[in-house]
Amino acid sequence: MEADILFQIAWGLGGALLGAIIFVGVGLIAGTTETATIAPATLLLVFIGVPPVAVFTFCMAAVVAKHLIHTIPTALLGVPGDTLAVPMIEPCSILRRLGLPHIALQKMISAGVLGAFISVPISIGFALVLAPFGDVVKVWAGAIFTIVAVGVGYTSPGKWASIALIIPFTFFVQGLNKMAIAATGGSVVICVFLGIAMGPLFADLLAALSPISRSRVAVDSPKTFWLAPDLKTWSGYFPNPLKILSRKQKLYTFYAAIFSAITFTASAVGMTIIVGEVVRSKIKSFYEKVITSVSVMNSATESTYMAEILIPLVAFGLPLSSVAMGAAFPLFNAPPMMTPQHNLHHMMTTAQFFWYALLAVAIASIIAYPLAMNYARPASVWVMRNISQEAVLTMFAGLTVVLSYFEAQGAGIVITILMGIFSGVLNKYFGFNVGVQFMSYFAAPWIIMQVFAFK
Amino acid sequence: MQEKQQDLLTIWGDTVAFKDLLVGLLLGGVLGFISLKGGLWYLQTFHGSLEKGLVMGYGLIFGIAGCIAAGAIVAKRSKAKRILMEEEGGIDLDSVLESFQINLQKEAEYLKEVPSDVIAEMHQLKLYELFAGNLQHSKKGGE
Repeated sequence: MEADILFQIAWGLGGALLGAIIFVGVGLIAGTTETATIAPATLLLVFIGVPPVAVFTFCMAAVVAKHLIHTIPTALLGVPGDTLAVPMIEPCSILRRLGLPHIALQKMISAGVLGAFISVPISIGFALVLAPFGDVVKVWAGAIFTIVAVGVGYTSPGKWASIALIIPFTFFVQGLNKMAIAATGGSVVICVFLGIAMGPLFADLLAALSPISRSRVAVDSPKTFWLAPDLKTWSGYFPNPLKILSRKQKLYTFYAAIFSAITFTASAVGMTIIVGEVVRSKIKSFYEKVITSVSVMNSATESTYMAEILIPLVAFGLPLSSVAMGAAFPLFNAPPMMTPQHNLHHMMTTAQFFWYALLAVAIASIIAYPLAMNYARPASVWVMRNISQEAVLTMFAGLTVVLSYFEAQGAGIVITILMGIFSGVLNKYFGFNVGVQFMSYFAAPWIIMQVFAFK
Repeated sequence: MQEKQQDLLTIWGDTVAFKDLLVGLLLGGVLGFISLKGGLWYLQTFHGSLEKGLVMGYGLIFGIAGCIAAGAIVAKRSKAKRILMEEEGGIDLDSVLESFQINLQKEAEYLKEVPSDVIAEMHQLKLYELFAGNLQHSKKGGE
């Protein structure tokens, strides 16, 4: 019996180590979506026939490591590490201009570690007690997104213009979605995200191409950046995330984990954006607002994923969340090894889910966290001196083409470009910022249904 | 002088040479696309037994490799056009704050409500003086 347990622990440890090591590397590569990387890798393990605990720890450690390391391209280069990092591009760009990319990185990754750890007991506890209310959240998700879109619109630079643009924007997004369905049979998500994220780039490019507006973007000399001093408050190799974050940042990270658990059926990106907007609305001081929102958003990328995997897995054994339908799908359904009638839910106990999830979080954190923390500033200096903006945008353009085509072939590329031009112009010239655009996108099906009574 | 001849622009918050950027955008798109399609063709032709999901996943890795290669080529050809200051006072952060359209007077008032641990952090990052200093500037301006 004891030997069995030890054998199982060894497999669990091995799975976590493998997931963490591979996805520390993958996390560094900008644009690698979770579903496209973690799901196939987990599927491979399922088909190889490794024990259930190893499949589980591999997937969990991969998620945690990827979302810790995606902060590096996001904070230092301004290129989204993956889908969930897209909403953090804007605040990271502000912090880079203030000379604080390394501080953004340290705060984000510390909040990520904390969020991952505390979301394990919260998610498991929620799975046991409150899961039946998940359906209620699902029914009201559209209304919640709409209310938040209006609130975020009012606080955006465009104020009333932003609110006035919500309905036209939802029409436009739904129109593009219909176009994708007509062309490929499926709707688009990544194309819309990329379009919104790249909007400002499209607006600047169009301005540069037009003789009328070129003077707005033309400059005489290179931009000067300042890099703040390092903020190394720890000694040795392993920092303590609790000491890196302020009291308020720790508290909001805790609230974000609870919020993620309650809304486990909703979109992980949507929840990350809502968390960021709520934090922003609660804090007045500019520096504290931006650094806290970006930290808590990164913790939400961890806690939403943990909640969206653990709650459906422990409570139902059915993929009832967007993450369970995506990156974690092989844990629920990978026939003939995993089926809705016989998957990890039936193979592992609740106690096993709890301890092995904690093990996976611990292993991923031990590998990824100190590495990023100790080298944040030297890495920032290297990037600023050696990686030109042209190279960053080249990579971003390539990723946009690749990911858009991956999702919806040629129609995907067209949709991303249309989305980018439309959202970029609205953002740049009317203050209809990225936060309102994302919220409007999530609210679009509900708004169209309520206002015009069609899907 | 040479930089001026390069036709510098601010695109997405950073300086670029327009010609280099256009070449880079084209290269990134083309190389990424060819790598993805080439990867998918290779996997479907030589590893036909692979699951469809795995083929797509691995194909994406080929595509991303193409994007990274394009980025590396452009990084080699086109040098970073930034002036990096590490010394305090090396850059006019006031103008950076202005570009964010911050109400500097209000901002300095908000500082009074910021918790002490964040204030200490701002001091260490040399940011506190910037925000608090603006209060002094605006008061002087008002006088």
